[in-house]
Amino acid sequence: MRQAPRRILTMTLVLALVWALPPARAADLKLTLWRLKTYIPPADKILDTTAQDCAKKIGAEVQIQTYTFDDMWTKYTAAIESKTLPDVAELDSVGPARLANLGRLSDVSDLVGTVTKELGELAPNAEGAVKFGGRFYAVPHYAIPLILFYRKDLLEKVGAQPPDTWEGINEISAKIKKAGLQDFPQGFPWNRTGDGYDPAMSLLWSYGAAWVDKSGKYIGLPKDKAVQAIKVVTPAYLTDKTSAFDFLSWSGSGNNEAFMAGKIAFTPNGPSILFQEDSTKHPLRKDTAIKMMPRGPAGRNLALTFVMNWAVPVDGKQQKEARALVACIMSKDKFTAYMTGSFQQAVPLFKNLLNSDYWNNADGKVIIETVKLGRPVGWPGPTTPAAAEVISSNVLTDMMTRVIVDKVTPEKAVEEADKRIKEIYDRLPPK
Amino acid sequence: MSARVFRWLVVGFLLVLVSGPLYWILDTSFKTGRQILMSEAIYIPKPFTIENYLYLFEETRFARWLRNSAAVAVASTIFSLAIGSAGAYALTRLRFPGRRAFGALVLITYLVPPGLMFIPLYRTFIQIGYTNSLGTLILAYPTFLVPFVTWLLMGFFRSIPRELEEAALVDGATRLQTLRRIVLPLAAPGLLAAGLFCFTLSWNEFLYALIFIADDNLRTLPVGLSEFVVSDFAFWGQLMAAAALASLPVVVVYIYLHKYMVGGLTAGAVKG
Amino acid sequence: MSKILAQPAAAAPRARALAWHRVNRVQERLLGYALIIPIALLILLLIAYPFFNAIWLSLTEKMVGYPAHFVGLRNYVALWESARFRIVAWNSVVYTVGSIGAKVVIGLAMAAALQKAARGNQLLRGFLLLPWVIPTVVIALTWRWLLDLYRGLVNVGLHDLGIIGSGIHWLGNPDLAMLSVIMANVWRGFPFFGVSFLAAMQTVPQDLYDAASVDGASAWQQFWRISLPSIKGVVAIVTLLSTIWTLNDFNIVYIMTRGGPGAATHIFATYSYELGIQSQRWGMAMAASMYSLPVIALLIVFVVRYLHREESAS
Repeated sequence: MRQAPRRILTMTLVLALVWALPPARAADLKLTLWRLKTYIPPADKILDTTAQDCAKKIGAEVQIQTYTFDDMWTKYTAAIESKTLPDVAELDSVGPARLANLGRLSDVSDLVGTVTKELGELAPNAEGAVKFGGRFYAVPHYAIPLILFYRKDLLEKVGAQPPDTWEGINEISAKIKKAGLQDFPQGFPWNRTGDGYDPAMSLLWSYGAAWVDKSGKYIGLPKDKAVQAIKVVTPAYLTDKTSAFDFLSWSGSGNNEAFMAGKIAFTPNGPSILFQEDSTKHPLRKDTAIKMMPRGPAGRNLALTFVMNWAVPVDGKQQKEARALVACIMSKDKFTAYMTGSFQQAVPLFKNLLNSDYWNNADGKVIIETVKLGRPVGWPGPTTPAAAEVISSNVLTDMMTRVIVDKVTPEKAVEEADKRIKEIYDRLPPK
Repeated sequence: MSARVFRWLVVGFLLVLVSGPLYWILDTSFKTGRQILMSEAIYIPKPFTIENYLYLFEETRFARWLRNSAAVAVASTIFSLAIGSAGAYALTRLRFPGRRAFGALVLITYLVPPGLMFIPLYRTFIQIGYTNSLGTLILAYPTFLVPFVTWLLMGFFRSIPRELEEAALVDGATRLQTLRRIVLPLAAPGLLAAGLFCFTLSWNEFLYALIFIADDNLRTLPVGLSEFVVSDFAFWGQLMAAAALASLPVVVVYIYLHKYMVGGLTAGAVKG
Repeated sequence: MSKILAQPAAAAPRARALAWHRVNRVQERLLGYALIIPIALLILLLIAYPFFNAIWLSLTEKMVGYPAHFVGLRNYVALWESARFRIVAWNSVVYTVGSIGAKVVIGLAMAAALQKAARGNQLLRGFLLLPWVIPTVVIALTWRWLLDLYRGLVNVGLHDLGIIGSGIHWLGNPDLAMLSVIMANVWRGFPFFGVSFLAAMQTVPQDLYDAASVDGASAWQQFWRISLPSIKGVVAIVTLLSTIWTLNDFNIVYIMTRGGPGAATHIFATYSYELGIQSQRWGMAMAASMYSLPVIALLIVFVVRYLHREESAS
């Protein structure tokens, strides 16, 4: 090869490699913070600004990284194995249990104490996810409620009242379909996203089918109650045909789009549908209403699945600064600003702000009630790594799809699920 | 059915098959969010807008993803070509004990696909403490690029007459000199083809990029793209715009050089 | 005596050549080893080592964050007994066989159609190669959007053409979902088959076809009796390579359906990913991947034997 091209080639290779290699660490104080990319971008912006301001206050810089519900564990798995968890980690409802059990989270009981002074007492139902062995391993940030969205106008057209039970939803959907208003009014996805496993937990618990006792020990999935619960929601797909098979293939956004495109009348979701309809001046906004998720024979035991918590992993070398950052983000002014800019997505878990005027409207009241009635993953016990895996392995929604897709009997599906749950609890016994 | 009718049917079918999705990408990319959500104006965007393309550069890290993908693709290609051509030359031109066995080994490694290797390879990188950087990908991609490149180039080298080299050798040149001055220039089309494959395969790679890189700033295009659809509101318009732009570099490169790519496939399949 | 003395003069250049070759052989050997060292290192450190690591992992219970502990074949047995995994294995077979079958047929049709060196054929061939160049992620996302129940081009187009009444559940109906991912895979992969077959067909000497025409054979017959047999070797290789890739494909299924609905489109690679990342069980994930290896190994043996037979026959 001639000289000139050869030189250029070498230069390119060297440059490409240098450009690609990780940069050298800068000398000033840098903190890393990982947070959820929520469904409401303006709220995310507020949080980022808050984090930057707080970092400046303690004389540091903060590098923020985001993840979605979908790829959260991909990102965290990598960091767990390579021991590179960030300085401040926003975790979901099962993250603290998992990581605390591995000994990777610092005790933040003092931080919780500080926040309590500013924002009031922590709601008892929020403790299960973050308090283990009497100590706090994460600071609850906020909860996203899962509520039932429905089309007011369609219910009026078929002369129905907003439903309070799962059977009610079935009946009204059948009526809407019969009246020719929609082909598939019932949009419950039973898929591997939060829109699937959160209602699944609420459903089972409301029928009395919890699989652990108060201490979190495995006692077996109550077969009759679980079968009863399944038999209430699967007919929509199998016999009534008020749910379309395609709903099972939805990603997190599928049900939002279907609802806003006017194709479904019922769907479980967080407040983001309201935000999206408001921000696009959507024609269906006036017909969109929300209600708490239905109750069952055993009461209204809703799942508090979408809780975000601040943790300080032990990997980080800047524990003091990390804690200061969390304390600042959770200070009264900063958190209030976040909450009021969140389009009702961020429900506080420390009591004081629940009485604020911000929630004093029809929608707000439903949202607050939902969170108040929410139970942690692993109810009636605390959140444990085993309970975490039951959710992250989608055991519950798989039960539904076994019946709907594979046409297995509910009894068999429940048996399979119970076997899987037992195997998980054997492998990860609660401490 | 006459041969002519058959040919027209097949060509027609294939043209529709290939154009359909491409048209859908472009069509969607020029629509507003409202249009897409409410299914207005399906076949031709009305209103026609470029807001999706602008959004990519203003509100997302699309430009950064482009840069990262380019860096990784170029470096992996150069790296793999160097290693692969060295190996291919040795395996076709030089005699040394174990040559046959090693040649078979190289081809066998091709059978261990990324879908199987992602966790153990990731663990290996963790063990040497080198993760979460573009360099990780640049080291990982050759694991599936090099066997392919070697196989391809072996076919090309074999087609270069030995006499040319032998004449040079007899004249006093060293092996390395003949490699540089005679063999490589003659194998240039093959190298180009192999280079194109490497670039394309690297540019498109998804699984390793998804798992090995955690840092938002180091995301490559495929991973960035897949992110669009997991939030609570899939912005199909922006996603399709991103899809169009993500395909553009490889398509452009390929339009100019596709003869070589086909030639490469030919050599590999027919002679390899 | 003079004869013996006369010999060295004539033999000198030859002896020199021989000596040169002897030295050269050593040089050649050294250079050979030197040039394959980079590949050898790559294979050793980044392919062989992880591969054996994978085998080791598959024999342990390794959950993310916890240390691994040996459990023998327990993972393999658990998978064997798992209904879900059996579905995954079956899906992998269906996905692979379905995709490969379609790609072979379309590839052959494409090669047959473009065989004549007609004008515009090169342009056509170039255009038809596009799906192979476009990023797979783009292809998967586009097909997902194409098959959207209410707004995808396919359902809307079929509806507007009057062919269907309401939307087809491409991604929600379990059988159609498998068909959908196969369609995307075929769209992505057929150019590789088509172009390879075409190239191979173009090395068949024209006189064979001319002779057959003279004998009154139709184009169809010529294709079956001349073209196909001549490219058997290429068909075998291309099919083998593609089968290996498809059996362990990840991108298309992951992005289009994540293996759903239920487990209707779950295949080895996506299931392994789910086990490894969502359930955080790396040992189990590796065991699941390993199940695909025997199939690959068998395929290779089969094809290599077939090729050797062909070679020795010709």
